[in-house]
Amino acid sequence: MNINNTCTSADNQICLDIKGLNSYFFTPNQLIKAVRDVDLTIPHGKTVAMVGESGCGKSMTALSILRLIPSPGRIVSGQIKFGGEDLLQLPTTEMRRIRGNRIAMIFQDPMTALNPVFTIGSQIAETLHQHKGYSKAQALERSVELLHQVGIPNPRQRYRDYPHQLSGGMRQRVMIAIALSCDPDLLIADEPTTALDVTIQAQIMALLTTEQQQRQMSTLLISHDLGVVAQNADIVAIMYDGLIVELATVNTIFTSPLHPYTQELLNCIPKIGQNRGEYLQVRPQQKSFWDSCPQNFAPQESQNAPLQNLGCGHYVRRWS
Amino acid sequence: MTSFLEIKNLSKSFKLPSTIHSMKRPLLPAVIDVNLKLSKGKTLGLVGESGCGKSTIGKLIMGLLPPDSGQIIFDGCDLSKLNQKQLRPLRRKLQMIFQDPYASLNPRISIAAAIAEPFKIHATSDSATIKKQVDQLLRRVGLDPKLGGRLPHEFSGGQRQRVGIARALALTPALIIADEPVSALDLSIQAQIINLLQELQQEFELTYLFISHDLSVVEHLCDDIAVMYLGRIVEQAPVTDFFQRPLHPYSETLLQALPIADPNRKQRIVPLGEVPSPLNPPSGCPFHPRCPYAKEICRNERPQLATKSAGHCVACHRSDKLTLSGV
Repeated sequence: MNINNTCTSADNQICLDIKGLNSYFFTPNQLIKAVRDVDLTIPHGKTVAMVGESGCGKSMTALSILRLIPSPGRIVSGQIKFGGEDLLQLPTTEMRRIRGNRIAMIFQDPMTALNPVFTIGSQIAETLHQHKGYSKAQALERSVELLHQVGIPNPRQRYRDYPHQLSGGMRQRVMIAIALSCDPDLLIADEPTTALDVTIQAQIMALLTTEQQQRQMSTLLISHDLGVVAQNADIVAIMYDGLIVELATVNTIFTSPLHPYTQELLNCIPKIGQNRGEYLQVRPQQKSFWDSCPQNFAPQESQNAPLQNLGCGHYVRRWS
Repeated sequence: MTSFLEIKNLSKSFKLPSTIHSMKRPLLPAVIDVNLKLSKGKTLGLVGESGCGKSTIGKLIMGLLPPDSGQIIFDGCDLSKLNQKQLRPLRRKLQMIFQDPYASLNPRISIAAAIAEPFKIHATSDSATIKKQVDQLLRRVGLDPKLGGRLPHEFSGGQRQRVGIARALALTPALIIADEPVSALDLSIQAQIINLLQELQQEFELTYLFISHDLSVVEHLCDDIAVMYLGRIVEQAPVTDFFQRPLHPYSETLLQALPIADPNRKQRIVPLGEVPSPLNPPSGCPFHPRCPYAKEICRNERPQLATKSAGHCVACHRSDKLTLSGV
């Protein structure tokens, strides 16, 4: 857990390695650089969290990994090493064999991610049929087993249910069952609990943790909730404006953050028993963070500060 | 301390559409026998899982829904006894801020017109004064009056929430019902809006009913807290008391489930089960199927809300015997 103290993170086996990833949106009016120079390594069996405000590029980084960036977006440059191959160089058919199989994804809103006109059972079976070549009977058995694993009561009856017959928490469990069906090496969870109540959120996060430990799976957790991140991540990447501004172990991020943006994020949340009734420290509205941040962190002459390696897996984007 | 808003035995059920299996329309009890008191200038947080009836209470106070029974006493007047005409002057004093600033503003009218609308409806002043007042309100919530002619889609979520707040402030209300006003916003925007709500409360001596599912925001902003479960209040307490020592097992569950932004304080207990359907509520204490401390009595008898210490009431058979942990 605490890789910070021992500084051995480099020895860990690497599951996914992103280098110099740039994904831009080419809209008729302007060029939007959604993901800029992202370097990120996801060690085997660990949870890496990406944190940032909406529009900071965290979801687009995840979609870039799966090469699912919606048009007019495009991956412009970079390298995504996964199991010895560069995902960005693979032919489409090969990529299809990886999606949902070795890299699976769960989304924020399980109602829109599940198909409303198919039973949940058939949606799990579809994945098994596609990727593992299971027969109908095999797929059914395995689906029931998976539903049981993710904590759905009476899986044999629920198998025939449609998504609308389930509660939000149950739907998210079905999404997890689909994602886990092919034993992925990497699970991308994009705001998996944002639409859920706290009690259900705690249940879903506990389920994800157990499954991850049992399967030795790596997870890329995308979230804007610092509580969820503190409780579940091993490594945290803070994103702003398409850039990773700070990357470190969870303890370092929460105890000794160096980038002013990370500090701002941590300061502006209400903390129980600490800042009750006080005004929260936050930059004035409508100001870009770059306007108010110290000189040696801000971009200079349209160049972004480089990501500086401070050792022990701690990176911060600043001018030296 | 006199209460500014008092809710007595308030109940509301919704008739659901008939199903193909039966012509009888099922009755969904959304709010059952709720009693609440709010003092002037204070903030009461109303929390609970989705579907527990917290937003319904807000709508009942606003008069957006008629109650089935019970009283809503606002500043000495029983709102449920008044007719529409008598209600009108009181309505100015009660305003609401909604969760989704995208849905609560008319996309086809400019934000200045949206803020001016309450003045026009209540015919308070001439158009030149209204214009001045709108500019003042926009400035107060941190928006440039020059942007008044723009349409809602030209603004970000946080700015739209500011417009919603300006509109609620227009007629100098005394009570604002804020229904999840920050849950759709990013962290830094959320912090800005929380700060704004605090500033306005001090400036205008506002009383807030703050409906939220985010306990850390409630702890930050509120003086008192009421926890709802399946339409009933199960615990009500001063905030500091509540977070240190909750008395209802459901409150403990909520507090334990709250992820803390500190990697060294790991979550301890994972909550059990989901909220049962209000159409078919459990017997006895509605929380007993999910309660780790439930005993025989909890299955058979519904506990009544009882006062345990100053301002702290709870509806639990076993609260005297349990020592529950806070945050």
